[in-house]
Amino acid sequence: MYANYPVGVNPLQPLRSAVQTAFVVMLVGTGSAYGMDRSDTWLPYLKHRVPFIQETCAPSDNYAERVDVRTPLEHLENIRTVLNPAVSDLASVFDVSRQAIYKWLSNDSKPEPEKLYRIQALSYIADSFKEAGVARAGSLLKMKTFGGRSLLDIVKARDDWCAAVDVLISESRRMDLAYERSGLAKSKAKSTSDWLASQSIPASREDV
Amino acid sequence: MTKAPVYYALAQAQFNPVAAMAKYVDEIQDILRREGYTLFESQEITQLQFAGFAGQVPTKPELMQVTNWIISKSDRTAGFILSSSSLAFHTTHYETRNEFLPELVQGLQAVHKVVSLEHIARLGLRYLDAVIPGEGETVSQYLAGGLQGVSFGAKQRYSMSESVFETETGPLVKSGTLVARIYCATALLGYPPDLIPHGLQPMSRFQINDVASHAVMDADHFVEGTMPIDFEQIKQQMASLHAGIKQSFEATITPHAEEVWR
Repeated sequence: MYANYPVGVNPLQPLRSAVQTAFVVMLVGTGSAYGMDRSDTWLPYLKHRVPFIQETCAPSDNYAERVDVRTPLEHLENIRTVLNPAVSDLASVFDVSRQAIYKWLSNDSKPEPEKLYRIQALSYIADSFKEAGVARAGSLLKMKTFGGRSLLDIVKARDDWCAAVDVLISESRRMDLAYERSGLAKSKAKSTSDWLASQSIPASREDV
Repeated sequence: MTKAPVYYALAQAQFNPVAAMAKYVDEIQDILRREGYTLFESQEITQLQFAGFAGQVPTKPELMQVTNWIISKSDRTAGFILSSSSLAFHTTHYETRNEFLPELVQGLQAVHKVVSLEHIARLGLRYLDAVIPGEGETVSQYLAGGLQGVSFGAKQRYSMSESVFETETGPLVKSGTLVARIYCATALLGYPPDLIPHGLQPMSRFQINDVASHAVMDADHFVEGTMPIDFEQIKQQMASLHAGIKQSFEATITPHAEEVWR
């Protein structure tokens, strides 16, 4: 769409207002509704007209093409299934009370719009871990690996979590590999908790 | 017009947001039920919202959870779509403006009676007309010159022309915006990407299951501003919006089209 502004004059202001007017007129018509459940019908039409800002990273290669239509409750269930965090941790990340989390989970109330970003972010992280086959995803969430911050802290601060997730996935894979190479998995020795003992000689009297 | 090409019409009023609308829906539905709108469905969908207002930098589109309450006639020919900040009356069985325009006002009166609205922020009227040529005819026989798009030999997926006009309206808001779009394609007759007639059945003569060369005239006339809850003036404002749509319709079609649809 062309904006009419005089050539040779600083076009920034008139151009921007013309573009804004066009933006409103083109996208927000009478009765307009862009439901994500039928995005296939309107996305091709809008792609020509709107510079969509895509996510800076993706839980999977085809994320840009795959429109997420999950409800907040479905996102929360995904987080609980894959990451299994404590409710108190979720409450801390989303800045709400534990009671609020239970109400969301029982569908008695819905998260406020400003909470949705973090819920979706944590759900996308769960998707990434699930896709990468990380077995103990929940244990990685609270590791203070990133300048003294954990992945939960990063999500809470609404910072970019993509790089952190990639680091944790590759770290998890290295740990799995090291475990496999150690042969511990195939060891027939009974597991012991002797390594927890504070004295150097197991079975010796403790008061010596 | 006895064979009017209108296959979908929608009138919408946006009002001050009522966060607790869910609490009042039952009462509103009960009033409309007595008026003949007996079907009731609620619909929760995730929508991509475009917030953009003149003078502001457009924000990044946002995903929002939206609840709509769909209150329709039992024969699914017309109905209301209520949300926390808007009411739309829509029909797939349009007859004339005399039956159509008062219904939105009637619905608004029901909403106002229950929730006490403070003001109307936007009034809009939107019509979809189907141009379906008869045997041996072409779309160009129905549309005024310059509306068929560019043609240069390549296979055209579709063409769309969009004209935006500033209009004089009244009495509540003096200046309106009319967006007239012409969409031409060889496809099944459908709806624009941002509209869907939730809960309604199309008129039988527009239930066409064959791919055919056709055009859709999509006219959207609206006003924005803070309007008081004065139903008489709202009626007049709607009539004024309709007059603009009618003018644009007449400017879009040929005498041949007028003859066929008479």
